Amino acid sequence: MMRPVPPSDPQALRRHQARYLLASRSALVAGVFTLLVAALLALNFAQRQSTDPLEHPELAALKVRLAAEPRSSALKTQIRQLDQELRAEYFRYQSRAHAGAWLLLGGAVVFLVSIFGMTTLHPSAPQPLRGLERDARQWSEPRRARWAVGLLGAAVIGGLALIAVLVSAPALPDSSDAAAGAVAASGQASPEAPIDETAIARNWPRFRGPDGSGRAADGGIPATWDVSSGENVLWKSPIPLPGVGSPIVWENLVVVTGAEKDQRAVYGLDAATGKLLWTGRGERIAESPAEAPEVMEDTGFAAPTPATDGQRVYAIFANGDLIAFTLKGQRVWARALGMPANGYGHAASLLVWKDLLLVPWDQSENGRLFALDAATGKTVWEEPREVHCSWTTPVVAKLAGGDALITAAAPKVIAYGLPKGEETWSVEGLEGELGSSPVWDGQHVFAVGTDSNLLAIEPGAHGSARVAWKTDKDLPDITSPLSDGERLWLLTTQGRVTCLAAKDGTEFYGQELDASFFASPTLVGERVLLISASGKAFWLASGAEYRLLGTAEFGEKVHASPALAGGRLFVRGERHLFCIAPRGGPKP
Amino acid sequence: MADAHQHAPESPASGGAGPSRRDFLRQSLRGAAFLALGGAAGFLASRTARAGNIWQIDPYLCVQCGKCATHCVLNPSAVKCVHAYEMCGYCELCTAFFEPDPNGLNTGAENQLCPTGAIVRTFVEDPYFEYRITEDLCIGCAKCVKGCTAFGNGSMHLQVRHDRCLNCNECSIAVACPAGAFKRVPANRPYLMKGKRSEP
Amino acid sequence: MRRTRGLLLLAALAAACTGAFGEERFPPPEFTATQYALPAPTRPEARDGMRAGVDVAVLFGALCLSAWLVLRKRSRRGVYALMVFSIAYFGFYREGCVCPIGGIQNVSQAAWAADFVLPLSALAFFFLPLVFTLIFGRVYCASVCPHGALQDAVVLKPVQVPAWLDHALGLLAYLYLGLAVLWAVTGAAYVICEYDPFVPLFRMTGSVNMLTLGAVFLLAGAFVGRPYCRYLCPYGAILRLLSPLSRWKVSIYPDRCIDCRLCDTSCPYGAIRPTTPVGPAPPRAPDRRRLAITMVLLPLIVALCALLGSGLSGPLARMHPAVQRAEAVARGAESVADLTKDDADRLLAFRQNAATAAALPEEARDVMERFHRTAPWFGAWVGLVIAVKLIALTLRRRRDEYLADRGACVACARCFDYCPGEKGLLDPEIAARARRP
Repeated sequence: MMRPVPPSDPQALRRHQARYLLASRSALVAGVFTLLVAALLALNFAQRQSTDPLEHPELAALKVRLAAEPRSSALKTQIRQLDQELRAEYFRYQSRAHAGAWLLLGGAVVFLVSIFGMTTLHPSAPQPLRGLERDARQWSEPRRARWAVGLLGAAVIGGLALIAVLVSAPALPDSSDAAAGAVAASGQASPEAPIDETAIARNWPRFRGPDGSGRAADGGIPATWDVSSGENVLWKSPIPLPGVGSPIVWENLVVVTGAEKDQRAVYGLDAATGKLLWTGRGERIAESPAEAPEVMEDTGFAAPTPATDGQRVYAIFANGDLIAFTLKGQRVWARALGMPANGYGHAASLLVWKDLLLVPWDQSENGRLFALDAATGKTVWEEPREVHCSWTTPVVAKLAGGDALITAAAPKVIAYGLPKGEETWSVEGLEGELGSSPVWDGQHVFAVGTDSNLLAIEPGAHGSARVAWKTDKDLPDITSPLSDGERLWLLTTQGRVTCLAAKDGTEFYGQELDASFFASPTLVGERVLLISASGKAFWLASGAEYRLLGTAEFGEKVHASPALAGGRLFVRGERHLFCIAPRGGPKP
Repeated sequence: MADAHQHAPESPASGGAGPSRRDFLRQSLRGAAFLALGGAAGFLASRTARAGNIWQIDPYLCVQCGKCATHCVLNPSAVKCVHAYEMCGYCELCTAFFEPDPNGLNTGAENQLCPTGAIVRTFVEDPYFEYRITEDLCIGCAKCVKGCTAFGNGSMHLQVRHDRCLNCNECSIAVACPAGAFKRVPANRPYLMKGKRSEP
Repeated sequence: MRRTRGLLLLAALAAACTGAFGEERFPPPEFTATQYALPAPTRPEARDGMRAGVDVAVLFGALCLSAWLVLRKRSRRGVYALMVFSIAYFGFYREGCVCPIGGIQNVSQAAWAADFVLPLSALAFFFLPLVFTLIFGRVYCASVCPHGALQDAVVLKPVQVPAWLDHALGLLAYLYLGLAVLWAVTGAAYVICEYDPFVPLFRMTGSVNMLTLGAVFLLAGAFVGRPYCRYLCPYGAILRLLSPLSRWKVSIYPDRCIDCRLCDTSCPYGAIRPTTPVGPAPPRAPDRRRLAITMVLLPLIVALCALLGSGLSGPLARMHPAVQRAEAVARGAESVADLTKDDADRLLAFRQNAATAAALPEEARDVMERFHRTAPWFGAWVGLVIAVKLIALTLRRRRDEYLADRGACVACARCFDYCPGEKGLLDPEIAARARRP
């Protein structure tokens, strides 16, 4: 019809037939060629699948042999030869596949063009009768179609229903599950293991050590070091975000926090090398205050020291966000306590007693003391605090009637019985906004009311307490007192250190040091360590006479109190965390 | 019979107004469709950008599983190892270059970790060596990256190389990535390289 | 000596390393003895840039040309030439990307998520063919779409797919469309692109499974015309709905139709609808009853399917990488030994990235929440598609000539070549005589 019809002129017909022959032959050749190339490509691929030249077992075996006979040069030659062959084979495979693809494409195009030519030269006759029967059936066609559609629809819906019933929804890990799972699977102690008291004693799990008194064994900590030459500085690691909270230590892990206006982080470092093992992010907490709190520059956004119980690390920030991480940095739980009502910024640190996480929350209004379930972060109890705003961290005292939590805030020292949190006794006589945390030395509780008195309180046997002695001279306002049971050291911000008799307050000496101090004094064996705000460490003998044993420099500002564990001294400077210890292993 | 067929459009069954009613319906539907398309396009136009997003690996999330070498639609993969030289320690014993516990600190095949020999080790000064990636040979298997990240400074890392990447709408490596390290980044900042100097 | 020390150090570090990313364990050296300049890694630019604008211009030009060739020039040869160009340009040169089929996903995700960046070119690629379809019919499918053109070029011996089967299989495209949109808006996957059978062929590289799938589609396409376009293509499904509304349409000489059926035999896609048979039509009453029943059932089916959809939200969410990762973690918490290789990799990644790991359960829950909200809509869509198709099949239309179905016709222009009226072979009188029995 309208397509080319074989011409009637015999010569033209011959030409036509010749063309058709050409088209059909080339279609045949191209078809066979295409199939052949496809087969070769498949073979090439199959070969590659069975042995990947880059993962060849023979090479691996040779390398194992070489490990056994490291000096065999014959083996080395063999490995080198095989390696070269295998690599060449790999790249040959690549180029074969590439060339093959183009050949395949070429073959397919020639094949299609030939077929197109064939059908053009020799069109199949139209078959007007072909659809006749179907056309006649068209009244019944919709019915069949309805059946087909109905059946397919039913099959689809049925199939989907089957999937909905048989395939369960994905089991997602709980936040805490996930973390616990990760910890459990990596061979750590299960979170339910009882807390080991001796482990707490040999570590530095909270602000100012195991009992919050700032006392540590000597551990051979060197008295001098040189940050620039690295002498006696085991390591020095930069801490990305600023903070004045102290480091805490649990076995081989050192933890510090850092925060700015809009980001908060907890850093886990290797105690031996200073390597940053993990960074726990403090963002994405439900109900976290949208705006940053107002804080003083000296306080910053990460003033509280974190705490640990050997299972989790707990950290609180200036905006009241409280987060728990595993020792591997997996977030376990987090909650927002709300924006603290606190003019200088929240600074009281956390502590853990058995399975309770205790959160001091002395605010200018609605102050409270929280006891949370350490595993889940849920509130176990909370006590209203009818005291002034404070920045003190409580300590746990082992009293005759059981463990008690000693808190200090104007106007009084209050002891709460543990684990219930009932008030057992209180002693009035403190004034001012307290920053100096109370200490317990086994006989006395020492609490400093900045603007009034130092109270030495002697708890009685039956839930009572009395003031043994008090003084109003040379009272610190930021640093906390230090007592070794016999002597009590007070250190003012302006640099006056006073040593008193713990039992009655008799002054042994008072000495001006030419420095100002934010970090609390620490007892290291028989030595007292004072670190000034400019980063100068003073070592005093712990005797009743003033004796300066030596000084050393960190070379940057230090506002945080030190941590000591495992014969290492950890000091957080303005930008770095320092580890002071005699050099043991090779220098990395 | 034939007449019935011929005059079917005018037959009372279909109604004389049939076609025009249908045309009217069609016209109004077409108008509605145009309006809908215009509205949708206008709404979406506010979310367009001249340059689209392209795929890149966040090297800090990458766990060197090796899937970049095997799952790219390209062979060899468009993912290559990139070296942030400023972070490199130029170690003599480079854990990216050498097998664990190498037989000797030389470039012999028995010591090399890279399966294609794509890392060139050159002496700079005592005791430092430079390690340079030959991108044409690199297959993105991440063996060196693993070595460098686990034991070294982590200066070697994987990146999608955009002179090779076809930027598939659905990156087949991203689908397979166990760490969710593949991200869409703006085309005008196509890399997430390690090291400060790598930032544009 | 140095070596052994290095090895010792290596062992120590191996023990200390928990797999977190490397920090500076070995301080970068200061080069003193040599003038060594620190090299910087190269940053080859992304390939995109100007080309997207060129692509949109070419698309527009090709659409105009296609419309002209089909509706004015009525030339199969011209359409074929344009097809070859499209296969070469959009197919092999641009490797099948950008294309409006995959663009469905980008557009739906952009519509859903305000922060999703949609390139202007993708928007143009999605909407231009829609607009052209509303004006000229499916001229995009005819010769601009490289997928369609490739299948059209390999049609050798097409069989007529029975109409009932054609109707039923045609539904799959709509279901696929629903699924693809669901997974796109939830950010789970772009399945249309992931399982596109032809793009790997255009690229001439890809996974063996996908290349094989492409080859299978082409082989099947030799005997079943355009199998992907008719039964799977989600964009074709949209165009099938819009095309009946077009201003102009493919016509096969209505004034000269002599019921010769040649157009019908020429169409490999079963898109020609025959004339209504002569003779009494079956009564309409049963059809009306069926119509009423299906109309009443429609909301019921849709509601039921929506319910089914909400039950499917869990299984469907499994497509999302974050859910897969979270699930691997949950499984790993039970038993690490039974994990698949992929899940083991995911668990490893989870343990190595403390920062992202902490957010993972929350992210997975977010995703699940998204699926809870969207999956019922997918279910409702499934029900709607089936019910509306059933309704459409109870509607009856009279045809007095052989017509290309306005939805199914892809404007390939084959039938023009076959129609005796087309080339003036029949004058009206002969035609009139031919009609007489």
